[in-house]
Amino acid sequence: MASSLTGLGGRLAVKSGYLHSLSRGFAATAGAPAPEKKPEKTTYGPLKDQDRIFTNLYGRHDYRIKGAMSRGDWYKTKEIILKGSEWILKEMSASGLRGRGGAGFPSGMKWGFMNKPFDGRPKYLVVNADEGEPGTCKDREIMRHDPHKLIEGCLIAGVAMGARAAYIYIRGEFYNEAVCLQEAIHEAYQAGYLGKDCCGTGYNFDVFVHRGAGAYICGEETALIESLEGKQGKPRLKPPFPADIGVFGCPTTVANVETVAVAPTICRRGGAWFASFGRERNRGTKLFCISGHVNNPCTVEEEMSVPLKDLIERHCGGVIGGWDNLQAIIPGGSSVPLLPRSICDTVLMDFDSLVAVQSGLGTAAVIVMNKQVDIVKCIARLALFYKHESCGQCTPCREGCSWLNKMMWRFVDGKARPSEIDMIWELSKQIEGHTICALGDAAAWPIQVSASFYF
Amino acid sequence: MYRVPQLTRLATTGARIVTSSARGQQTAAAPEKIEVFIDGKKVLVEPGMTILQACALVGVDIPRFCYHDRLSIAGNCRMCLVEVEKSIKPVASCAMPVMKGMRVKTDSPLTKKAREGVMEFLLVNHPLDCPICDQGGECDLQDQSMGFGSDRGRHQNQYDGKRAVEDKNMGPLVKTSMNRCIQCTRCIRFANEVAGVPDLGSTGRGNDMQIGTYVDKFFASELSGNVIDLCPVGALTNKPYSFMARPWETRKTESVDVMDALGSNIVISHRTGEVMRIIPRMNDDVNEEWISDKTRFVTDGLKRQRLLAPMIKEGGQLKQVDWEEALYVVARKLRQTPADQIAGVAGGLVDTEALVALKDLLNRFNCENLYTEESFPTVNGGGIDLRTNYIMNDRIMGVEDSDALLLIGTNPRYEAPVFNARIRKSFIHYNLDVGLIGSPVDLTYDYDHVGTNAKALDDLLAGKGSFAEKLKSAKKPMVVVGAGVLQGPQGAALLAKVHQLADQLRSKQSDKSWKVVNVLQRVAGQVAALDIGYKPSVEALRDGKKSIKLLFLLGADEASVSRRDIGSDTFVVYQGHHGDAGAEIADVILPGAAYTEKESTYVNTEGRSQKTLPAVQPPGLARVDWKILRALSEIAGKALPYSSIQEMRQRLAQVAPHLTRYGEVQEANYLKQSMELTEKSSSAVNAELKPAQLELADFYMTNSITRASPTMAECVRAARKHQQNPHIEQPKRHTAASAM
Amino acid sequence: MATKALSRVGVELTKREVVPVVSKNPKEARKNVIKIYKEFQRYVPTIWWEQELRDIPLPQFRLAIKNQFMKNAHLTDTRVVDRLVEQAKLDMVNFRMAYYNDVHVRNFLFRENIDPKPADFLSRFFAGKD
Repeated sequence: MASSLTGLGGRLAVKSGYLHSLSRGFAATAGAPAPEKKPEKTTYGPLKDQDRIFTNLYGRHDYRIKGAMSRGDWYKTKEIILKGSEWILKEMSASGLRGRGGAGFPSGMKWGFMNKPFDGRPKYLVVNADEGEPGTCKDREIMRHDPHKLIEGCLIAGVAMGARAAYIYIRGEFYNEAVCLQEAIHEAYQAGYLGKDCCGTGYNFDVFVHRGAGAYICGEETALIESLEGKQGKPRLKPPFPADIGVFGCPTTVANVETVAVAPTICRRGGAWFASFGRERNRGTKLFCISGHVNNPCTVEEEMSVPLKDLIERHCGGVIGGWDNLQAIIPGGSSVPLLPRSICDTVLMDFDSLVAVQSGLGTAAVIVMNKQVDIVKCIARLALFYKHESCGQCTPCREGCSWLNKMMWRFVDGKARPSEIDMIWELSKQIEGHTICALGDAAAWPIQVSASFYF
Repeated sequence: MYRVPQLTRLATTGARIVTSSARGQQTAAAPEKIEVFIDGKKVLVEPGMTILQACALVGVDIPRFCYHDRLSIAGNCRMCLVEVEKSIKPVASCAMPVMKGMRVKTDSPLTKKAREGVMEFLLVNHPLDCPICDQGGECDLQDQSMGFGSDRGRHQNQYDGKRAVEDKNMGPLVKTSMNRCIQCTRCIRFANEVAGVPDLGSTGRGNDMQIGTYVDKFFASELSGNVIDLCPVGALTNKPYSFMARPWETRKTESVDVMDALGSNIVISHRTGEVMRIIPRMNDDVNEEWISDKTRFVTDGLKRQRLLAPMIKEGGQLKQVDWEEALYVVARKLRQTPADQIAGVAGGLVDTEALVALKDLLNRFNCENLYTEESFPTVNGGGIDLRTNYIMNDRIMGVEDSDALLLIGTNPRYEAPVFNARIRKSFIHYNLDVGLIGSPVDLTYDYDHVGTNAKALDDLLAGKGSFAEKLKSAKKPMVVVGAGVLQGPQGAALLAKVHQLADQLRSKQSDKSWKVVNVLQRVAGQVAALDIGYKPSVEALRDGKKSIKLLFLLGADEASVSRRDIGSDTFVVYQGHHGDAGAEIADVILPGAAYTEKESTYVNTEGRSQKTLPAVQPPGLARVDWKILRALSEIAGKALPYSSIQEMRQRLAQVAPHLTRYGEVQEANYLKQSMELTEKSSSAVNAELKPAQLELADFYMTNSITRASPTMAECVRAARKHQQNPHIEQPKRHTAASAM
Repeated sequence: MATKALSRVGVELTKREVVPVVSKNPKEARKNVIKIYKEFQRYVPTIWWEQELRDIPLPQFRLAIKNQFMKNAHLTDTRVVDRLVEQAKLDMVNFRMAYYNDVHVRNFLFRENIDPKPADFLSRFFAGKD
């Protein structure tokens, strides 16, 4: 049974129209000698339209099921499901997809953690649609304009993990998005794509939308699980990991919206196609949300490893006042350290190169700041944000973020001493790494980097 | 936040390590120990242990605030961070389970820096209250900042300021200064898990996080005082004790509590001859680390309504006299009254020495009429002749081994609160099934309400009902009947039924040492009195068959015998420490000592004999009880053969050897004979089983000491007012299955 | 030989007559005693007034001091008498320096008047809490 399915999948891979673009040296036949490494790209340029995954990012077309199906969603979902979870996991691993929610953990590996024999507890997929990271606006575009990608992704990811249901935890402020998403789910149920016997495959899968209530901390995976269970959104200690004990005590994987939403396209077009974008270990396309002092702030889907300068100049019309007017860029939402001008000239937008310059890709929310900005005030505003959003459970974050915040605002007003720059650096080092969740790290990093560059 | 249930415990003296929640696996298959290196020292530990516990085995004390070995793990104070090799970040040792080959460094620079950092953060918003804070001298924050914190702070108070939080009103017992709270959440976890009253929680986020009841609510739990011990800082303190003494000034005397029959181990802190406060002592077999509110806050009752001098009633008025005169009057009466017209009644707070002395004294005058105020059936099961009939045979610890518990006519929540906490612990961690026959009360855990009438026992005997199934399939069922419902005319028949049920359950078992039948007594002195040979009811006095001319009331304050019962010409001698119901009808009052003022013996409901030690001297002219009786005997001409406490204890050992084997429980035997002496009947007992204490307001005043305490009166007032609080949920009947 | 004989004689001599250290003969010792007694009694009012001994009537206090001296009136050995005289001088110094407080003085001077502790059970019982 399994072998015939894989055979079916193999024939599908050759015959399906979408997969023709895989003809770049893709050794699809098993048993062939080890495939030669295909030549790596050196320029990561503009994404061609036919390579786009999110085709309705700007809402110009219908988000409902009819429009979605005309754009290619729900096409041969049944076959993909019937190929089985191993095949889906293999495709995800081959695609090199890394988590799009900020941490960048290889998704194939992460979804594979759920591959445990049944021990009496159902497995769950939880989609993290709590888009709390400042500067990030990509998930809301997906959810209000292209929800069916997400829903189909839930189904496919659920099948890959053996999950019984998916919970989409959507931020409370996203009322419109939640409505659109629920409407789309309703349509999917009506069309028989969800619920009992999805798409006619015999697999039972449910998707639920759960609205949050306005806490950034609920974007952290264990806090999200707590909030879903109805408790206060305070992160748990890890170990035990959510893949062991998650929502309602059952094995759970928490994945970002974008990660889940690109899964069906990967399965349809093949993991190797996805892997054809971007550098080694930073494969695929990404939604970048560029905001700040650019002429056209927007959300674009671009290839990974695209140079930062190209991204801004091509899609956003450049920095206000010209590239030379640039002061600093935060490449991945407020949780990553900022990049001063000198680095921005040459850095590529992907996980590894940003880590190499002591920053990070995060959620790819690029915040551009030009020379009219007071960096100290920016950092102070970030510190205020973290102080407001700290859950208050562990001591360093609760007391430390508040202290950092007060000190930063004194820096802004000029009521501080030079020795306090070193003090604030030391305090941020005391917070970083000593907290239960990563909010402490996120609060500490901007201060650390700024202290070394700017103060 | 998800909290890891704390299933493994330290191997301290008397503690047991349970490695899994599966029943019947406790010590049989010990899992293979793994080796862990702590500061270079190798130690073999069980796999489920956390690093903090493993370090404690080696003797390394890791500082912590939020970790407590009887509560679930929170991991939020971050003070316990240690460096583990191969880990970039320091690791919270209270939560991280040990893994094979783990190398832990508790004295590395990273660890030290982490501790100093966390301590600095804790002190940033902590008010400078040490001089006015009650916790000073016994404060974890003070001790750990001295031991592990840095020597100076960098916080600029004049620029950044400190957080201020409003104080919450939690009732007349717990004083809150929430400025000092470090949000360790121990109180929340205690209230949720141990006390079962989920009223405490945290509101707000980040620096504005506040611990409290959110609405102005009385912390309505009978174990509420334990949060005072748990709170590592002075946020929750003892309200009656506030500003009274510093811990280094007080002397600590180890003793035992007599407010209920459990005999919780306590430490009496006293200074300059005054009892300041009572705090618990750890005893894993009896009370773990908790004491009830009555035990803790009764200290001001010890100072009020005390009998200070001997008194004789002349012309209807009590007049103060000196000892010689009082004892002479009583001795003369004793010599003049014929033997069968003398009687003695002992109350619930009386110690074993006084009981033996009174019995010896009256026996020397050929009198056998010695009774206890609290009744107990004298037929069926051997009455009071066989010990298994009136003690908790399976011990308090047995609740943890048991898998089905049937409570009959008792409300352990208010009759023995610490026992109830243990049942709750077994319910949560070891999946204990509980059934209740009696009034449906809120026990803080789910139970099967089998019925309100004793007729339900017949259903259980016949095997009808879902709980009967559970009892039958249980490997160690326990049946606990409350002493309260064994009083009265139906008591004997009820006891017979209980024995029948227990016998039926016992016959299915292989473990012959498990006895199934248990009695939960209500007063501290009852077991000792029955052991010594007191007859357990005052009915004989009341029915008028005996005409009593001389009545000794030894601490008998529950008004079981009134003037009307005995007649106006009876000469009543009252010996006790508080002026309560007994002293009211007395003709001669001999002032005795309370439990904090004498070295005495009390036997708890399991039959465990425990010793109290005197913390202060009895006030005024009062004397220790057995010495009064010894002096009386000498004046009456038949001196008792003991003059010192050692000789008294030898006499105790002569009467019943277990009375001086302190701290141990002697196995009671003769269950077979007990069954032979039971009248097995097939007719149902028709009695509504209603325990005396049904709600919190009933809990606080149950004996002479608590009735004299203004704190207890405040509590009763607060508990009654709490009923009208619009924010409480209706107490639900916890029924797992409504078996009506 | 001669020394032995001489020492034998010396022993016999010393048996009969003590060789005094301070006072050479009993008369001188007696003089010293009277001297110190008078000095003591002259000093008594000062002690009595300054050291909270005023509740004892002064004549009674003087009598107590006299009794202390009279207790040793039977002694003849000059060396012992001298020793006791020195002791009395030291006592005076101690009083002046307040090394002996009033309670010490009371306990010492009137120790015969203290009631004996109760011995049997009943007296202990009536007397107090033991």
